[in-house]
Amino acid sequence: MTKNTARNLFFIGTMSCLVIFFVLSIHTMSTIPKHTNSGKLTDDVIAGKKVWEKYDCIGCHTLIGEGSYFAPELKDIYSQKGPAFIRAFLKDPVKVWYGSAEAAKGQRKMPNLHLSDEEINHLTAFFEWVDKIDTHNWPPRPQRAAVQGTETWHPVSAQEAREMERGEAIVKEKGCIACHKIKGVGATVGPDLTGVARRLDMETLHKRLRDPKSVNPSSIMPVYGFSDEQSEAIIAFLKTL
Amino acid sequence: MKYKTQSVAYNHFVVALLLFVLQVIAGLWIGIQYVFPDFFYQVIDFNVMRTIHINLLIVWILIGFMGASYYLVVEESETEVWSPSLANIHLIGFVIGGVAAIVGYLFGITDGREFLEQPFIIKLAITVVVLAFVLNIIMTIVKGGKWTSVQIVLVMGLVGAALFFLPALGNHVGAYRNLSVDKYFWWWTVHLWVEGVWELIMGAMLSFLLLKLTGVDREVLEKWLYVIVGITFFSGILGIGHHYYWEGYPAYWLWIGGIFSAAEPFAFLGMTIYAFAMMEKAGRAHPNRAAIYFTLGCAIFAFLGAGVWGVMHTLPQINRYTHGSQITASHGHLAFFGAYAMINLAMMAYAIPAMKGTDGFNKRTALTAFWLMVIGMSDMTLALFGAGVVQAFMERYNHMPFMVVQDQMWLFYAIRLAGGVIFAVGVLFFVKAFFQGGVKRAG
Ligand code: HEC
Ligand code: HEC
Ligand code: HEM
Ligand code: HEM
Ligand SMILES: [Fe+2]
Repeated sequence: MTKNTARNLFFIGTMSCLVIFFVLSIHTMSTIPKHTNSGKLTDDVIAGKKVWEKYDCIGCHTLIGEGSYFAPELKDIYSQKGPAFIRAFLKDPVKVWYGSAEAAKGQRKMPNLHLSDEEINHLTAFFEWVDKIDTHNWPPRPQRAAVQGTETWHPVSAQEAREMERGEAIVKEKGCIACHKIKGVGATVGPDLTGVARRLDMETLHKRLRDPKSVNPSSIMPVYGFSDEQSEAIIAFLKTL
Repeated sequence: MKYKTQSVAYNHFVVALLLFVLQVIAGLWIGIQYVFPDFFYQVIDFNVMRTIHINLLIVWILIGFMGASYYLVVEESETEVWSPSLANIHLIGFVIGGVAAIVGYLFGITDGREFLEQPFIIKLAITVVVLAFVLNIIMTIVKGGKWTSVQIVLVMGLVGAALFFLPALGNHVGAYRNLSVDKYFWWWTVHLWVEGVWELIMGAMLSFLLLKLTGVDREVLEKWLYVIVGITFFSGILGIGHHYYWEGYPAYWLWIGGIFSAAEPFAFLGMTIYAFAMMEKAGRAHPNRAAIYFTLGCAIFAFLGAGVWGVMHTLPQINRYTHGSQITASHGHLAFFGAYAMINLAMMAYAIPAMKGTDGFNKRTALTAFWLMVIGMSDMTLALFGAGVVQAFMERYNHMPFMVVQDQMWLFYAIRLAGGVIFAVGVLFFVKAFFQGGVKRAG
């Protein structure tokens, strides 16, 4: 191969790739309404994107996986925690997440950006819209088992949202899926936990978590010795199933 | 100095190096905030200093490219710069724009889009600066009348960089109000720069350094340059699909992005083989050891950071779990350092002594700088890689909450910070070697 052949190959290859790229880009743009619900791109949503950029939220967070890795991904925050949580959290992040400034000492935490109520409403609308972008099911989350006729429970107060998150962490850490199906993942030694908080009353749930044998003397479920707070948190999580 | 207008290259290098130091200080700042979150909390928050860190990175690399281009074009064309005063003016313009942007960030004035945080008016100013620069380079080559392949590839890279900056100018208008559309064109700037046109700039500079350091036959060298940049564009243009997996676009990008981007490492592998083969061929040791170290270091670390660390998470099956995680940060650091920081440092290590009439940087100082930077960056990359694996597994695969997982990763971030400190010391050694201006008989 001579220098001239190499150069010609370079130009032809580059041009072909550019042409293909432009054609695909035009096609991709034509599918945007379908994939992103452009019809629902209301003024509030547009204003929400502006607020998102004005406060440089992406300087700490990722959104659809783009941005910084210091703070949680927010693509599906709307369906995971709901609008009530988003509003309460953005008003006073530290209080909601950690309870108090003391508890937050030495912890990674979001600064209070002193957003106005209007800005918070716009952001909430924006998150609701982003939640519906078709990202081929990214971020990977377990499929919510479809429970017929029942609404998924959302934490209504910020306190509950935090509790739910702690509960989820405990459930992961203890590996309850070794026996239970949770959100479609796990074994079938024990019952599927979908909707368990609707099936059983609170009293039974607490008892069951603290001492399984008090509900079923021959239970093979381990005794974890959860404290009240821990079982409270686990139940907050079970309510979302 | 044979050509006295090469002094504009020197001015650019000084500014670039200074901004590099500031970039690393900003990096240490946010590195500390990862480990001790109360550090300047609510005073200068993480997002502010992160913005400054990555903006300074882009600006110093670009100013370094400008300086290196002036040096290269003058040597290749064997003529003076077309308009040295224009060069100094656009340098000053760039610095003023950059300082204004950074002061703005400290006061919360930002466009809030990663890497493109500069307010519109500053983006416009940058465009003008870059056009003035490109004009000056092209006119110098025209004046010299020698369109060598190295210069052709360089100019294609520079013009391409200017061209692909244009989509970045839009925001809040028309289709850009849709987040997915915004991201689509955001990547035209970000991806098509680092995995497209910048690779041409790097390829041209690498070739120039190899020509100077080894004295091998130009004809052979230029042929391989075309082969390499051919692979770059062939894989890199459609390889943009590796950013289009999860952002609201059709599923065919999973195929196109996966397949084409998986071929991108071959361009970097090509450069590594090219550099080592030419060095081997020359067989004689150039007295400027530091320049050789940084040139070969660039060839190796560009391949590791961009090629290996890039291909590692480029297939959709893996990217699904690593997208937007510490794995991305690990790759971003090693790739930017290995490819674009190193090529700039290599050009400085070659050009500064040549301009000062010395044989090379003080070998001890420069090689200390080299090794401290390499060790520091490797430490940072591996620490973030560890953090990323834990994150991908616990958060993405096992569905644990983000903050619960982050709590487990403190040690990784502490190790990364330690690597950052080592790196920063290396940078200071480089600054020392730079301002010494080199020594006679460095070898
Ligand atoms: C300086 C960094 C920083 C900035 C800027 C920032 N955040 Fe946060 N954000 C965090 C951190 C850290 C958390 C994790 C919760 C905590 O500890 O406070 C968080 C949590 C959140 C959550 C709850 C996430 C969850 O999974 O429960 C939401 C919603 C949120 N941020 C929205 C925003 C919005 C909207 C903006 C911009 C207006 C923003 N954040 C700007 C750091 C930041
Ligand atoms: C070794 C297997 C095993 C493990 C581990 C386990 N469970 Fe169970 N669990 C069972 C079995 C079996 C039952 C069915 C009733 C019984 O045997 O007590 C059950 C029942 C339950 C019930 C009542 C379900 C119903 O519909 O009546 C709840 C709630 C529950 N488990 C929660 C948990 C939680 C939370 C964890 C983790 C902290 C956990 N389990 C871990 C085996 C297990
Ligand atoms: C002292 C050394 C450094 C430290 C401690 C450091 C630290 C950091 C931190 C904490 C972030 C934010 C990551 C996040 O969002 O979680 C970051 C981002 C970044 N840094 Fe550095 N950095 C250093 C040096 C460098 C160098 C030398 C380069 C390039 C040559 C670089 C390039 C980048 C890039 C490209 C990003 C953006 C990454 C992305 O978006 O994926 N950094 N750095
Ligand atoms: C010198 C060349 C390169 C540089 C400077 C570079 C830099 C970066 C940076 C900074 C990011 C983060 C962008 C963001 O903030 O979201 C990134 C992302 C990425 N890079 Fe590279 N890169 C290079 C080459 C490559 C190559 C050759 C590949 C593949 C073979 C690759 C694969 C990826 C992938 C898949 C992502 C997305 C990560 C995610 O999903 O979060 N990169 N790169
Ligand atoms: Fe890319």
